[in-house]
Amino acid sequence: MTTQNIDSADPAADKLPTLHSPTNESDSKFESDVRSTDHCRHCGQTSGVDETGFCCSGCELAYKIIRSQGLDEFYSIRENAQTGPANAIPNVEDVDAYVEYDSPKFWQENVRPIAGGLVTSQLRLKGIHCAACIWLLERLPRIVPGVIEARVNLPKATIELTWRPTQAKLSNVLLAIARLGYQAVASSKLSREAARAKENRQQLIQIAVAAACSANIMLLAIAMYAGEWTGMADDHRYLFRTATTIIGLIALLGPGSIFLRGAWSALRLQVPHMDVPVAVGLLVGAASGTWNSLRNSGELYFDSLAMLVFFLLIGRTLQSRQQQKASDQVDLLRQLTPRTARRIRDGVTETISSDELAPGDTVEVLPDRLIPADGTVIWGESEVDESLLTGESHLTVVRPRSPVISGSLNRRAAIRVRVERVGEKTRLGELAKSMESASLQKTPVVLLANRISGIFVVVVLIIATIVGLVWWTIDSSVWVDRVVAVLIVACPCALGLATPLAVAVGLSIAARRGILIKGGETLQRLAGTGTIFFDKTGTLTQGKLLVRQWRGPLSALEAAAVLESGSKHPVAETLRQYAAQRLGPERSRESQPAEEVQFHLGLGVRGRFRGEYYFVGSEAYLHANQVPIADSWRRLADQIAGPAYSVVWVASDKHVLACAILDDEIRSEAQGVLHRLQTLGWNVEMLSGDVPAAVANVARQIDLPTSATHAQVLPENKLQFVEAQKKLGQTVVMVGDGVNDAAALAAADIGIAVEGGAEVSLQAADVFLANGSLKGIESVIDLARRTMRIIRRNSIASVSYNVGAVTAAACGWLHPLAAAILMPISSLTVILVTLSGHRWRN
Amino acid sequence: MSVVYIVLPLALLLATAAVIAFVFATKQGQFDDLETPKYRMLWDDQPVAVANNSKDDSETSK
Repeated sequence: MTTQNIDSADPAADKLPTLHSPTNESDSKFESDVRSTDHCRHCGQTSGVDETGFCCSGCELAYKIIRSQGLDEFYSIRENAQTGPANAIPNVEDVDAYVEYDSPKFWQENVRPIAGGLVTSQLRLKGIHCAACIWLLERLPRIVPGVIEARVNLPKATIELTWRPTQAKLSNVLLAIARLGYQAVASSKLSREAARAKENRQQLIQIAVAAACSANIMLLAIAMYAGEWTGMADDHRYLFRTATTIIGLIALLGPGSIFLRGAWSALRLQVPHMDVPVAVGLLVGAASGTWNSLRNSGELYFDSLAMLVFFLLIGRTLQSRQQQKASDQVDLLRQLTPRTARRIRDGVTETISSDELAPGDTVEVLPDRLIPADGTVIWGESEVDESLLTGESHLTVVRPRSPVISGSLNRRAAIRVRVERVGEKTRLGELAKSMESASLQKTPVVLLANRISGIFVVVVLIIATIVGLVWWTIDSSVWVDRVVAVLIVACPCALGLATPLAVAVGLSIAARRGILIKGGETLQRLAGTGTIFFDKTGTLTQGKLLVRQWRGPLSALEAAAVLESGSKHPVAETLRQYAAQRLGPERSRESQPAEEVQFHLGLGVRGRFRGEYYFVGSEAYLHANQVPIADSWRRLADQIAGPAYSVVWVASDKHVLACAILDDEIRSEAQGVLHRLQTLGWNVEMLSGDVPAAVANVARQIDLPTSATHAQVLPENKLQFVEAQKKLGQTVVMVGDGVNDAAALAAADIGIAVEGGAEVSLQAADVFLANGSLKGIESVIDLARRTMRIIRRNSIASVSYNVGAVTAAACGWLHPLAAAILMPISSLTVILVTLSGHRWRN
Repeated sequence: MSVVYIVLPLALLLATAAVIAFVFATKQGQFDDLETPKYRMLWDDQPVAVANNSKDDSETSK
C-alpha cells in the first residue's frame, strides 16, 4: 500500500483553497504570500492570504454577506471575545513546540503499532467546534504526506491519527494541525482511554440487554394479566410463566448483577449504599419468583424487577458519562503546555523533551518560556516570574549563580541554567507528590441517598419481621408471600434512579456555565457550610498589575511608555496599557522612538526621548543615578501608596517628574462574592505567600478582617492550614490557581481551581472555573444546594410511595399488577421532580 | 398443540437476534461517537482510495 498518490489521486483537492499545504515546499507562491501579507480579513488566519486580503473566496463571500447586512460589528465583537484559546495555540513558526511528541516516553504511552508498519494514536484537540472543523482535520492525509487516516470525534474532541512513522514525524503532523488553527495535545494515557471506552460499551450493552428483557417480559405479563380476567389455558399460562422466569433470570444475573456486586462490596466495607436495599429486593424477588415458577403457583415479580434494573442502569450511565465529560475537559486544559527544553551539549543546541533532562545538563531558557528544571543560572541576566510556585507577585532578578526553580517563567532575556534536579526531585515535583498523597488521604463522603438507604434497609427489615410475625399468627400459610411482597415493593428504585439523575443534571448545568465538576459527591459537600480559603495572587486578584494612580504630567507618561516599549516586564506592559488608555492609541503610536535606551535589570530603564533624558524605575534606581526625590513627592507617595503598593518613578536627570502607583488588580467580583458567601454561612479566609503589607492591602479592599488573612504562607503550610481546619470537622474548600496551592487543593474537601492556573492545580482540584469568574463559586454552591434539595424531595416522594406500597403489601392488598404499575409511576414522578426542579431557576 | 408454542420461542429468538446485533455493533465502536457521523454525511466528495485501504488494515488488526 502506498501513500504518494494522495495528492494526485484527488482532483478535487486543488479546488479547496484551505488545503494549501503548509508543508509543501514547492508551493512558492504560498510561501511568499505568508511573508508579504497580513491576516485574512474574515477568518484572521495568516496562511494563503492574497492581495485582496482574504485567504479564500469563501471568506471573501462571508465577509461581503456580513457587510451587506450591516453587521460589521461582528468583527469587533469577535476581537473582544478572542482571549484565551487564540493565544493558546503555539506559534506555528516554532518548529520545536511539539518535539516532545517524538520522545520514546510519549510513544510508549500513547502510540500503538498496527498492521502494515503503521502506527495510531489518539490526541485531544482544542478549538474544534463544528462540521467544517471535522472536515478540515479529516483531510490531513492530503496535507501531510505519510498520514494515512484522521478520524475526528466531535463530542470528545479527539482525533485518531494513523500514520506511517517512516514517512511522517508526529511532531510535524501536529504542527500541520496547529497551522490549520487547532491544537492537538496528548490524550490521557492510552490504557486508561481504552479501559474507559470498553467500560462505556459494556454499560451500553447491559442497558440493551436489560431493555430487551424487560420489554419482552412486559409483553408476556400483559398477556398473563389479561388472562387473569378473561381466562387462560393452564398449559399456556405455564409456558408464559416459564418464559418470564427464564428472561427475568437473564436480566437479573446479567445486567442486574452489577447491583448485587455493589451491594456485596458495600456490605463487606460496611458502608451504607443504595445498592443494598436494591439488591435485597432483587434477590428476594428472584428467589421467590423462581420458586413460585417451579411449583407453578403464586406471583412471579419478574416484570417489575427487570424494569427496575433497566431504569437504574440508565440513571447510573447518565451520571458516569457526565462526570467523564467534565474530567475530560479538565484534562484537555491541563495538557496545553508542551514540555520541552533546549539542551546545550558540546556547543550544539537541541530541543528535547523535559523528561530526558539529567542533572549536570546545561539548558537554555528563552524569554517567555518555562524553566524546565531546578538549577543554577550560569550565564545571562533576566527576571523570572515565580508567582505560580510562591504566590509572590513581584518578579525575581536572576544572575549567574542565582538558583531558579522549575515551573517559573523567564520573563526578559535568554539565560543558561545548569540543571541540578529534574522531574520528581524538583520543588515542583515534590509539591506534586505531596498533592498526590493528600488526595489519596481524602476521606470519601457518604452520599445523602446512601445514608438514607442505610436507614431504609433497617426499617424495611424490621417491618418485614413484624409483618411476618403478625401474619404467621393470623394465617401461617401466607406469611412467606406477605414478607416477600413487602421486601420487593420496598425496593427504593425511584430513589436509585433519581439521585444519579439529579447529579447528572446538576453537573451538566454547571458545565454549561463554564464550571467543570469532577465528581457527584462534590455537590453534596458544597451544599453545607464550612470554611473557604482563598489564595490571593491570581485568585482574588487578576494576577496582573494596574496603575492605580498617576501623579504628574501626561508628557512624562508618554515618555515612560515610549521608553518601556521594548520591554516585556509586567510593569512596562501596565504602563504602556495605561498610557494608551490615557493618551489614546493614536498618540502613543505616533510618538517618535526613544534613543539610547538602557534597561537595568530589576531596577528600571533610562533613555532619551525628544531630546531629554528620562529615568523610569524604582526608588533605588533613581538613587543609584543620583536623582533626588523631593520630600513633597515622597510624602505624596507614602500618603496614597503606603508600603503595600509598588511605586514607579519617572524622572529627568535632575528631578522627579511623575510617579505611578501600581497595584495588583483585584477581581471586580471578588468583594461581592466573598460577602455573599459569608451571608450563606461560610467562613471566608485568605492564604497568601505574598508579603503581609500586600495581603493587608487586598484584605482592606475586599472587606476581610485581618484575623481572617494569613500572609507569607509557604505552599507546604497552606496544606497545614487546610488540614487543621479539617480536623475541626468542618467542610474545607480551597480556592486557588497556582502550583503553590496544589497540595492544599487536593487536601481540602473541595478544591476549586480558577482559570489560568497551573496544570498541577487543575489536576488537584475537584471543581474548575473555566469561565474565570469567582461568581462561579457562588453558582456552584447554589447549584449544589438546589441539587441536594431535589435529592431530598425525591427521597420523600420515593419513600412515601414505598410506605404506601409496603402498607398495602403488609396487609395483603397489593396485587402484583398494582405493584407493576406503581413502580414506573413512582420512577416517572421523581424524574419529573428532578428535571423541573433544575429548570425552574435555570 | 397451540400455535403459541411456536410463536413465543420465535419471538424470543427475534429479540435475541436484535440484542446480538446491538452487542456486535457496540463492540465495533459504532455507538462510541453519536455526534460526528451526522456531519460526515454532509461531505459529498469521495474519500481517497488510500483511506479505504487503511481502514481495512485497521480492521484486520483488531
